[in-house]
Amino acid sequence: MVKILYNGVLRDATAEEQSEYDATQTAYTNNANSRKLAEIKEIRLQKLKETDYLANSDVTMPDYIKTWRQTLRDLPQNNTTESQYNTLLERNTNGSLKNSVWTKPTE
Amino acid sequence: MSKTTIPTGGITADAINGTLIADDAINSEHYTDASIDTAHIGDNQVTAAKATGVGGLAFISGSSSSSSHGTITLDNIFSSSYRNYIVIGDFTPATNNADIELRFRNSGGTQSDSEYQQHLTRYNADSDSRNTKRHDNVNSFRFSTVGLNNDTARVGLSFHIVLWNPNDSNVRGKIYVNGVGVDNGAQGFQFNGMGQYKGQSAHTGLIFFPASGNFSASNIKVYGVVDS
Repeated sequence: MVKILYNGVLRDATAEEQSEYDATQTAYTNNANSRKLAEIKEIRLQKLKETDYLANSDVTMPDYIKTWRQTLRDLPQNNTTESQYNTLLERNTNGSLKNSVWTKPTE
Repeated sequence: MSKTTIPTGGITADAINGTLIADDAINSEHYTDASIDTAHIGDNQVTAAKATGVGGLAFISGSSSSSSHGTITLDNIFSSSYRNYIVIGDFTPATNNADIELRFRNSGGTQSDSEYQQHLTRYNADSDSRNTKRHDNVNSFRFSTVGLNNDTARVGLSFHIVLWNPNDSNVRGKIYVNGVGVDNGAQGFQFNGMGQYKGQSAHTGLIFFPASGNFSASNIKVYGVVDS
């Protein structure tokens, strides 16, 4: 039985509260893949935005940036399992993303 | 003339009236130099009625624990007494990388229908990148924007929330939150943003819960914003 903090008092959950707690935990677990994919798409969008300015008519987008942007766009179709999602979302101890696919190439 | 005692009945009712005391007879220093013994002001002597017009925040409820707990429920904190509220606190999940969620409660229990909407923005201390957490028609306010650190010394998330009209069933309850956290990689971040419950309901409370695991510590205070 999980403990809950109810109006400042720590006590055992009632059957109804336990059921509610279990339901939220189960939903979170069951939803792991879609949640991770959504996070990947969110990171991808940010990375694409960072180089959007290179698509302006007064600048030329280097080929290596074009290739990288296409790789980012293809991430969902090339990564479909939870294990692959975990690899993409892995972080260093300082919190930065570990997978090299997120790093903008320099040349 | 100096007297150190006054006989019983020596001062009759209303004997010392306004005309006998000059405006500056009791210098303001007596309010600050502790020469007025506060023990003479008993508990509950300064009532809300006497503070009318003062404004500020009225403490409503609080909750604090450093033992493991699965949820934090604060019931009967919203009422017709106040229109708007401030919730300030911090918590740390027991499991690293846990997301924290928030739901309203009313007399029927937790409101877990898909009426929540949000848009939060987060900036990590080690990056200029903006991260967002945007959801519509979901069954909770996804409060933390990123999985939190589980080190109680680092404190997973410290925050304050402004809530508008949570107890008014005629209008939507709205949320503005900002705070400081430490993510699962031990990186500090700041976040802020909006949320609302699109159904109209007289909310009476809140429940915070980790999407996975428990809280290892929490401390939350709720205040009503006094109209004045």
